[in-house]
Amino acid sequence: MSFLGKLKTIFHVDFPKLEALVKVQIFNNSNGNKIECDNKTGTLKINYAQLTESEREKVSPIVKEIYEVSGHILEEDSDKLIEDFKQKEKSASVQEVINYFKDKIPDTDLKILRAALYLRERDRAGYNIVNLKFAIRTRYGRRGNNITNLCTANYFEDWLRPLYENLLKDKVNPESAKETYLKIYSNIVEELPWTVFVSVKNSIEAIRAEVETKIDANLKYGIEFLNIHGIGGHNIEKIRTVVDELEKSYPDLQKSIQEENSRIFVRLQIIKSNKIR
Amino acid sequence: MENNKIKITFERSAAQIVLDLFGKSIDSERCLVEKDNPAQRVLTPEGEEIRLREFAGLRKGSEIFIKKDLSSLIEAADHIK
Repeated sequence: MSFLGKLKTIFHVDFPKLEALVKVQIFNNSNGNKIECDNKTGTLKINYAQLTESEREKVSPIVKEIYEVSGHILEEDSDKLIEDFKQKEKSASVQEVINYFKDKIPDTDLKILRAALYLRERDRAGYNIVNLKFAIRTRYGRRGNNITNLCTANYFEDWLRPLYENLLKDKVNPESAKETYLKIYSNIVEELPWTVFVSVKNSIEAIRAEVETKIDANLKYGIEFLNIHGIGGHNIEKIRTVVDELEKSYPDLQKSIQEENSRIFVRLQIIKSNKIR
Repeated sequence: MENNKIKITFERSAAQIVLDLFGKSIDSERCLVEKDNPAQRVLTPEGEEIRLREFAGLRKGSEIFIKKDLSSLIEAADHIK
């Protein structure tokens, strides 16, 4: 007998408009009905708080049987997140990034990158991503935070991929290119040499200090630019203040600023003869 | 046909009912434990304890308990059809 048939027998209820049982959802509400049917989604909701002891004894083995067949039982919000994640990860643009980097970066970083790509997709769809970002930072620390920032600002596609491709051109042996890449990549995700990501906790003084330190370090290696990213009105204001201060101190500093949808991207071009400090 | 595609979920309010069905309960610190051996806490494959509020479900492969954080859910997504 089908699961629907078994449940009908227990509750002595027919669900004439339910074409197929797709999902059983358990809840526990002292005010609700014993059983609710959503014909549209093919869902039967069973309210354990309203079941008699005898009904519980009959329903519980069915719950476990469905678990055996489906292979899992998930809390509703987690199920939705997993479904959404799977859906978004299927997209061609996400797949392209994952497939490109999967044998080039450490496994843990690939896990972070997958989470960051999901966060980016949610962000682009207009959802609040603060909790997801916090979850990545909590789990993976500073490296997780940096990879997320780099991913959301498209550095994986625009910088880290071309970097590998240039190394391949320069190196005869692909294995050697991979080894070199891994060293450079690790430095980038640990130190963020080309970028400053401004968050709410950064003061103007701290941002300026970070910018100047990175510019100095970059110039030693012939890198004559620095990118600054920020999201939100307060961060934008702080970045503009820092850029204004730097311009006063260093008049030949060139800048380009893009600002839209509460995001700012500043590119500082440093003329070597006008090296800061 | 129906039985192959069906899935089961639970609302937050029913988390302890689900735990009970699978022989688990919670201890004084709200961590998941074995019902018949409350000194034995339930662990994730990474060896982490799970608090009731973090419990996101379980999947087969013996019984793998899932924590409600993004990386654990992504890990679970790889194993869920």
